[in-house]
Amino acid sequence: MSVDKNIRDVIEETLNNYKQPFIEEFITFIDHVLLDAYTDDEVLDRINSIDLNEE
Amino acid sequence: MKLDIRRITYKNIREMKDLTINLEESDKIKHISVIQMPNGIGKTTTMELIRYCLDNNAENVRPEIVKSFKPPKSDFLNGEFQLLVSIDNQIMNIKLLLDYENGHILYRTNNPKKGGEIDGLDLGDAIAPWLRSNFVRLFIFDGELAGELLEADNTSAENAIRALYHLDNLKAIYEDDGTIDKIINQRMLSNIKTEQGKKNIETKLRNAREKKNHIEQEISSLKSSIDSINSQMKAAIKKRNDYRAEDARFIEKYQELISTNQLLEEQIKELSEKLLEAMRSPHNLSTVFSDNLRNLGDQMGKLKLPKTQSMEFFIELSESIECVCGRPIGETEKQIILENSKNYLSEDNIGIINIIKTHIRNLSEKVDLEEEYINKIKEKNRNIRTNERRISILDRKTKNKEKIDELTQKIADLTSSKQDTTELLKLYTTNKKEEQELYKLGWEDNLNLCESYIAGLESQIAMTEQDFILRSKSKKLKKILSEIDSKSMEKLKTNILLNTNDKIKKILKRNEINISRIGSHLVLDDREGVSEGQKLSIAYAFLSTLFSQSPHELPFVVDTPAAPLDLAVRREVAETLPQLFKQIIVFITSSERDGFANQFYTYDNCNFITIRKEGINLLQDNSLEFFKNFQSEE
Amino acid sequence: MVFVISNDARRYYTKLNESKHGKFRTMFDFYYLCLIAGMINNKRSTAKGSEFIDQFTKDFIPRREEIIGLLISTEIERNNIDLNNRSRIERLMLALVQPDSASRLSSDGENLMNQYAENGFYKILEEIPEPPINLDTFLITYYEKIVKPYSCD
Repeated sequence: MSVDKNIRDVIEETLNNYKQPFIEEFITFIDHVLLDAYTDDEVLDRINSIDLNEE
Repeated sequence: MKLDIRRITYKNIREMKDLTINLEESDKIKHISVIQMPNGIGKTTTMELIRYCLDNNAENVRPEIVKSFKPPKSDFLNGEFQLLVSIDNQIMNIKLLLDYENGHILYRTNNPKKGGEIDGLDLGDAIAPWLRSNFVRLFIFDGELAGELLEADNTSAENAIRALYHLDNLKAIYEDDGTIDKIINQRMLSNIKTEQGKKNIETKLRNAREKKNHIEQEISSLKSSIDSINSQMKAAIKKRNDYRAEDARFIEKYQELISTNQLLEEQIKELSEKLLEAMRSPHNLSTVFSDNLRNLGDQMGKLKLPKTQSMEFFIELSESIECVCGRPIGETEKQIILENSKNYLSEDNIGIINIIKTHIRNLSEKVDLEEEYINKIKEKNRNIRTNERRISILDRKTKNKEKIDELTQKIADLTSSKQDTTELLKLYTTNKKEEQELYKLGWEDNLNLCESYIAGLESQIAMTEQDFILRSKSKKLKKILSEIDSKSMEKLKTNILLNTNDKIKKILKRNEINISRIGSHLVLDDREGVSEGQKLSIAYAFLSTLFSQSPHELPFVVDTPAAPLDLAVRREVAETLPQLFKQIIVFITSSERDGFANQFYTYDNCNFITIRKEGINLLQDNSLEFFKNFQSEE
Repeated sequence: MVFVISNDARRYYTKLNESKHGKFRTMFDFYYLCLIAGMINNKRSTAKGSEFIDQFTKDFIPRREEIIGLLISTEIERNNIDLNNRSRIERLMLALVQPDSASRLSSDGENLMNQYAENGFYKILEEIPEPPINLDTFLITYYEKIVKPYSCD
């Protein structure tokens, strides 16, 4: 996980209403985004998989 | 990621026709490499080319710029710049091929992992995302950047942070018209964007469904009609066939009877002729006749009629001399005989009377006319009459013709009616495009089109709903990402701020310069107007903080780092810099030696390279002594 | 001497001969039936017809003597001649027959025939006023109305 700790903390804080597995996934997502590693479809997947019902 | 620069090779670039600068010794990278190069030889060029080697941006360079790298007053068509690097200890060679004729730069990478030299820049997928132009220029450092970091309305500082932490990639995703917006717009299925629009579609859908119901009812009713017509037709046809068959049977019967009658008449004719033949014999006609004739015959026999002796016998006898008894016949006898001969019939008469007698005594057996002929004839006549009666009855009955004609008309009418109804039904039910176009059918006229229309509306609604969901989700994600971005920036800035201020204090001990906050640029506390030296110091402090906070080990390549700095600051920078970076490459002019470069003279892990021009040649000297004493012409 | 038949009889015969159920072979057939009818009727009428033939036709040749016999028999009865009176019968016979005539009848004999036939036609007319369409009808009616009653008396 090469996401900077600061950013990681921020993510966890921002997503504190979400379940943990989701948060981890999201961190992975951000990691890839920062590295510009996503195709548009993968981003779309991420949009679709966001669960609107926060836990 | 650990990036080291090991060697720089020039060929036909500016003053560097053929120059190799080694930054390592015995495979070990020197911590500090100070390259003394007079102005005008190619420091700036070197910086640019090193950047290109890393940021893959050479193809965007304008041809004039490329051509400007050509050695002055030369005809060289090509030049070459090589950077030998190691990335995470993997050695790679980056080659820039400069085409002076066309103003292009091409890349060649020798990456062992990719199996030898290949076209293009490929430093590996792990590294490439890190080496974007705006990031590369942070460590292949352009001195001007220092000023920008402090300039209001200049976002260099913020951008530097962004670049380092790749938050610009993050922004690219959530910003307006960024990746998310782009994806959403691409994937927007429907063109309905408002609640009202959705309501409109829903109303249309309701109406369309009603219409469909109506059409279906119409279809059902038409089908019933057709069914009814069909059964009526079936019944009528059957009835007509029955009549025709009846007629056919009658005709057959009729023919039969007529034939029979014909035969009977033939037979009657035969019998009549036979009857007539029989009647020609009177004794067949009546027993009275036959009795009378028999009586007459018997009497004739009894009465010996005719006498057997004929007159002629006696006349002949009278002429004889002698009688049959032997007595002589004289004249007297002759006269008596002649006289008496008159009592006897002539032969002819005897003959005919005999014939008569014979006939009437030998009548053939009486034919019973009644039994033989009359009764039979009567019977046959009766049959004929019976048949004729039957024939006339049949005749009457073949007046089915009227009924048949009636039914034929009815069938024709039904057929016509069925055709019309079928046509109408077809309009409602056809799903053939040609027909729909031919009859100019709309969705209100045709079930298939109506269903398509409904499907379209339903799909739109579904898509709209999907779109809404997608949009709302994307909105949410954007919000989250935006939040993460801004919060991250804040946090990073805070950290960097603190650390930078610390570092600033170290370097600018005597001056109270604080970065009060990092907005888009570094905002200083209280001070209006900062000197160039101070600016540089702040920049290095900032950069070094940045890099120290990042996971990367990057070389710091800088061009005239200390020129504007005063001696004290120079010293500080010279002291600090090595602590900030694992590899430092500094291009200086001789004027920067004092205060800056001389700080390193005692430092073991340091290269001192002097590049100078002598006449038309460019010479390299790697000794410290030479370095110390070198004076350029300026 | 010849056989004669009235015009009415001829007409009757002609009409009758339009039958599809068989025809008279010759007019003699009809003459014969008239003759028989006359004999049955036991009457004679003045023969005012015209000649049609001078002898028995081919069909009647085999019955010629029978018919002549019948004529004789009829005359015997008409003249009330005793059947035992040989000479009278003989004389009658001689009066009626003529061996060398075509018909084998004397002119008296033919005359008588014609007279009987004439009367017989009227008898037929009486019983069958209109010649029926069919011969068989005529023959049967003739038999039933003229001949049969005679036989059963």
